[in-house]
Amino acid sequence: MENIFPGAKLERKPSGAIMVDGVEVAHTMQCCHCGKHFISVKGSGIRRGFCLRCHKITCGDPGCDACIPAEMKLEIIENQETRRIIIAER
Amino acid sequence: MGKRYSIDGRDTNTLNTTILALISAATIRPKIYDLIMGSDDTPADNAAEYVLQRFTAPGTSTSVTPQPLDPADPAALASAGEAHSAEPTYTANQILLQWAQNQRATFRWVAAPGGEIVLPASANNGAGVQVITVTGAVNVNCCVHYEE
Ligand SMILES: [Zn+2]
Ligand SMILES: [Zn+2]
Repeated sequence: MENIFPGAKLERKPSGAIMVDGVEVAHTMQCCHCGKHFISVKGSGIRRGFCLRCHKITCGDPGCDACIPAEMKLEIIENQETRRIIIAER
Repeated sequence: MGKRYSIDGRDTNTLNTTILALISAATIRPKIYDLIMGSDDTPADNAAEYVLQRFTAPGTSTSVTPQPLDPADPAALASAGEAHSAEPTYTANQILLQWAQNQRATFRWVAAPGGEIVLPASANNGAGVQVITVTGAVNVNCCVHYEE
C-alpha cells in the first residue's frame, strides 16, 4: 500500500496519529481554536497559524485567526442551547 | 479518565451521506479519541473521502447504543446513529478530521492524550462521519471510541 500522506511531517508533540493498515503513516496536530486535527505536509503551501496567546498551532482557517480558545467556543454553543430552552419554556 | 464507550456503524458510502454519528447530551462533553474505518465489501479499488464534522441537529438514523468498554460502567448518556435517512444539520467549516482512503485500506486515527475531539454539552449537538467524495459506493464500516 502506498503512503497516501507523502511528505507528512513527524511532529515532536503530535495531537494524534494516523495508521493505515496498522502502520503509522502520519501525525496530526490539533487547532487550539476549533479543535480540528490536520496533517502538516512539508512544502504543501497550506496556510497554518500560531496563536501567541494560546502558544499553540492553529489550522490556518481565517475563522481561527482571532483567539477564541476551543473551550470558550464549546461554552458559547452550550450557552446558546440553554438560552433556546429558556425561551421555549415561556 | 471518564467512562469509555464504543459505537459502530455500517452503511453504503453514498456521496453526502452520513455513516456514523455521535450525539451529545446536556450534562456531558463526549471526547472522541479513536476512529477506525474500513470496508467489508468485495475488495476493489474505490476511493472515498470522509470528514468528521460538527452538527447542531442529528437528523434521522438507525439508533446505535454505545457499549461501555468497562462492563461495570453504566449506560452512556450520549447516543449514536448509523445509516442516516435524513442528514444531520452540519455546521459549515466545522470539520474536525478529514481523510481519503482506498476501499482496500483500513484507516485509523488515534488522539494523543489531550488531543481528543470534544463535543459540547448540548443535546442534539455532535459529530458525524460524512462521505464527501466517492468513486464507487460500497459498504463501509466505522467504529468510534469516546469517553464521557
Ligand atoms: Zn481551527
Ligand atoms: Zn488562542
